[in-house]
Amino acid sequence: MIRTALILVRPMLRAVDWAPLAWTWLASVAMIVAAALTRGAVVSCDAVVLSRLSAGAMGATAGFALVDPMAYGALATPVPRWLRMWLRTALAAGAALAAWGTSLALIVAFLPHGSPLLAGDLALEAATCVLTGLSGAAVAVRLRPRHGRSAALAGTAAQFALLALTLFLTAELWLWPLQNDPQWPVAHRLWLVILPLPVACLALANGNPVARRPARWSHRVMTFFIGFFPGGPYARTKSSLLP
Amino acid sequence: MSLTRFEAALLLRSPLVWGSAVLMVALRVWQTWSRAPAWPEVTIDTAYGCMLVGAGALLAANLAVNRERRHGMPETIRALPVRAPARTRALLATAPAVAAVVACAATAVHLLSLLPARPAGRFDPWEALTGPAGAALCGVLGVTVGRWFPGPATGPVVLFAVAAPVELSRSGGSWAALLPVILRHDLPVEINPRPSGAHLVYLLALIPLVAALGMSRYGMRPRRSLAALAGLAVAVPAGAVAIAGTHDAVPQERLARWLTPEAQRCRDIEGVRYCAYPGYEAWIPRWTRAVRPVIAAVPPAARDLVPEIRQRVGDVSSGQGRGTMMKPTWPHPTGPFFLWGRHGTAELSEAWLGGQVAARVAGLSDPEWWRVSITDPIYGASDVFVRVGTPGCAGWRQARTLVALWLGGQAGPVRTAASSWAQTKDSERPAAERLYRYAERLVARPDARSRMWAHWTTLIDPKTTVEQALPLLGLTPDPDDRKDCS
Amino acid sequence: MTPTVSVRGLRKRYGRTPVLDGLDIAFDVGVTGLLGPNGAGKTTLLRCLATTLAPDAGELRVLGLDPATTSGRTEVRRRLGYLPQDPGFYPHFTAFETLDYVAILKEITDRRERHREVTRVLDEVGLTDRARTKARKLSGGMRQRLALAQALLGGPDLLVLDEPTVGLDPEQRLRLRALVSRLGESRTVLLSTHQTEDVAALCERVVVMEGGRILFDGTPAGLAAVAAGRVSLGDHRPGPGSLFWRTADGRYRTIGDAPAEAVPAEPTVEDGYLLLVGRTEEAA
Repeated sequence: MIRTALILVRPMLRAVDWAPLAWTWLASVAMIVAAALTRGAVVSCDAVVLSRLSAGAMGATAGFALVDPMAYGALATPVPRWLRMWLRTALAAGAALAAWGTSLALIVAFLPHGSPLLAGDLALEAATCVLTGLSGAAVAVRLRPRHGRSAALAGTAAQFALLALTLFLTAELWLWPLQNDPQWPVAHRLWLVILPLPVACLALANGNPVARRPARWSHRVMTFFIGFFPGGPYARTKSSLLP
Repeated sequence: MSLTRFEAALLLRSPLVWGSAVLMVALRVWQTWSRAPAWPEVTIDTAYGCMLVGAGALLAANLAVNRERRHGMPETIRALPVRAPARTRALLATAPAVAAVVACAATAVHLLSLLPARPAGRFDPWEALTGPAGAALCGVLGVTVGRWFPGPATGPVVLFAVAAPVELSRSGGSWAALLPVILRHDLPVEINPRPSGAHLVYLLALIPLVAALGMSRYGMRPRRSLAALAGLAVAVPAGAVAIAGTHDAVPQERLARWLTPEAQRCRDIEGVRYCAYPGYEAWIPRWTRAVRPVIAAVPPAARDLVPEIRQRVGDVSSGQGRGTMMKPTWPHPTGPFFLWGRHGTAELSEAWLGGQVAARVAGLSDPEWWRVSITDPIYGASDVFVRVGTPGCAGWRQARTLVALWLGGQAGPVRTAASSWAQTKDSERPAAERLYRYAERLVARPDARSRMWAHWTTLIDPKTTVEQALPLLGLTPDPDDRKDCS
Repeated sequence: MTPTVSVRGLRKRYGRTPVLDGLDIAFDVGVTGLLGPNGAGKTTLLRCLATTLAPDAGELRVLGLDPATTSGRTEVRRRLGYLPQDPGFYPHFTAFETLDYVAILKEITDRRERHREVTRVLDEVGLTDRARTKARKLSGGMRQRLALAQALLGGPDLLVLDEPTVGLDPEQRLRLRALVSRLGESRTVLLSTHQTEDVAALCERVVVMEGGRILFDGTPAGLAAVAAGRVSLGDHRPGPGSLFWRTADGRYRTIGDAPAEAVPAEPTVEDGYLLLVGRTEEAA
């Protein structure tokens, strides 16, 4: 299995659609450079904002890497679906975080001398955002594989949902403080608590299809949330990979 | 026309559009739940909330444009008589209209829901309309970029490109006038004039300009060129006016005018003078409710010590950052700012104002302006600039400090009331904690008022210490009475 | 002898719609064609056999294994070749790269062996000269042949082909028939199709499905015999309510009650199929 996974890396790197992530990275870099040039430097609060927006954007477009046009044909092969999907997830997450990392490096380069940036905490936020986007796309790709690249927009929707939910949290639960806010360490303990959630969602979505009835509770939960929007891009069809 | 109606029906049904509207209303209700509303702030924040609707409309419009490239449709569509320009025109007409209507509806629902709370301040209709205008602009942008750069990834990338400058504009810059919403504002909003009218005209002019850019995908025709030029002809001067009207710093002469007594409207209620800025007189009854229990606890002979309650301007933009560079021309800074609590946090605001009055009545030293704490308990986690104000070690040993704490405790929790005039350093904390505990014990005593009144003159004498005051107030010293202070 | 595929009481529904309704059937070495109108359940059955869809109820054994277990499913997939109804491709992969990728997924990890196998199947389907052409530049028929090639990788014991002749021109169809019939000599081949001529030319056995049930299970000759005495040719257009069409020589071929002046005609597989399905529609 490990050998197969290693052999699969190269064709999968070619198979994955990197264009959306690449364009997002370019937009992020352009925004950072524009912010730095217009003000002469990137001030600390702007640095945090730029880092977060960049992470959110990467998460929103990383999901395109999970869309596999050959999903149906590949399902009938001995290499299990979870291996292929986790490989894609790892490549997408790695690329998205690397892209975010280069954006952060650029931000740091433009920071005034002596302005610290809590990169570790920002990396935690970025990891959660990227994994959230990937988990949304993974669920959509599993339930609606025929929707192609549009299914990846579920990743954007997942990011939207994460942001929206967090805006309802205030005071001690506020997740978006600035660096000099006393809430900062508390917020990042909360981020640590949140991080396993998209990982768990990915574990459910990337797993193999269940063999037997009744449908696993996880599938029923996922179908409920995707099917909540009648007539939307994810309207029920017969094309699910699951019973 | 029927294609336009068809697209409109589809967009209105899109969960991205109505879902984001529901989310926006829910979020705004949540955000304004624990604050007494003021129109200027509410309209700006609601316009910002309309960006959620704009985001939903942008994604939905982008998906609609890319619909004909999915699921084997290109071949089918190409053989039909209604060509791409007509289909694009239908979407360009529909997307901004639907976005604007939905954003308008969401804005109206939220603003109307605030009416029972009788918002203060002046309502700026132009500011309120910039939200739907911004949402409409996002809708038309979704169609245009979808035509020029087809693909499902374009939507998120464009969203990022719109959201990033809006968020970055919080730290200032008159260029923010070119964005769908001018986020940065002072409190009070009115102190730094905003070019809401020009900004609205600028946004509205951008819509046909962006639409014309979308249609130019199929070549520049006279009507498209005319629409683009007309949009440009209005957008450029309106944008220039909006930029000129957006100030990073509050103009000095305007700030000076605001800091004179003549800028306020005053009313005498129950023997106390309350002065509010125009539009905020509706909040005077709230302040009265806070101050009334404190005054009732003051001996009648000493009620002339009760100060005027004057609404204050806090930190406002001063170019380099935030800070009020001028002192008001009236003495003793006792009074609320431009925030007040609601639904559970009103008690915190009342305690806070009551504490200030208590400190003044007890005769605590009039702190220097820049040492007055402006922490407001209802801000919660935010970047409010906190200044250090403390009675100092000498003050924590004085009986009149205890009197101030007890008086403040009539308006609300002792510690909350104290936070309006005491931000203790760590080295003073044991001494402060000691006094807080005594004050809380005192508040619980039914005979505290009679004892206070009986020994008032002694208690507020700066030479009287806490140890001397305790037997007068019927309090026994705490077993672990720590007085450390350095 | 244990059949390659054994199905008992198979049920599957999408929402409230039953798609497979208590199916009992077995398949063995040879070529079996599945015929049926749209929505008959052919693709659903093939997906269940290809282990890409789990049934709601019933017993299924494929190659002597139980696909309900993970190990069973994996083992089935090692010996299975599946051509789905809508095969997808990576547009920027060449034909060779596409098959190489699928071969890896079929656990052919040795590079030399894998490339040998890819070359072999490309030759089988006549795409050797297109090995380096990107998938997006292949015609529809070539893509279909590429999809068939990926099903042939690894020399599977069971071939499940969902509408394999879609998009193929007559010459390519002929070639495919030759290939499938050769494969059917030693393997179990199940194919679904709408082309009754393919069934007639290629299949030793034909199963007609409708509404998730089996209407007919026999030889193509047997299916044609269903229409014996019920097919006629005439010069005049039959009356309303008849199933008929105009032939190339201008005469009217009627299935069902013969019009007055028509003469009996030799029934074909298509006639038998139409009569079966038409009868079911009347009954419904």
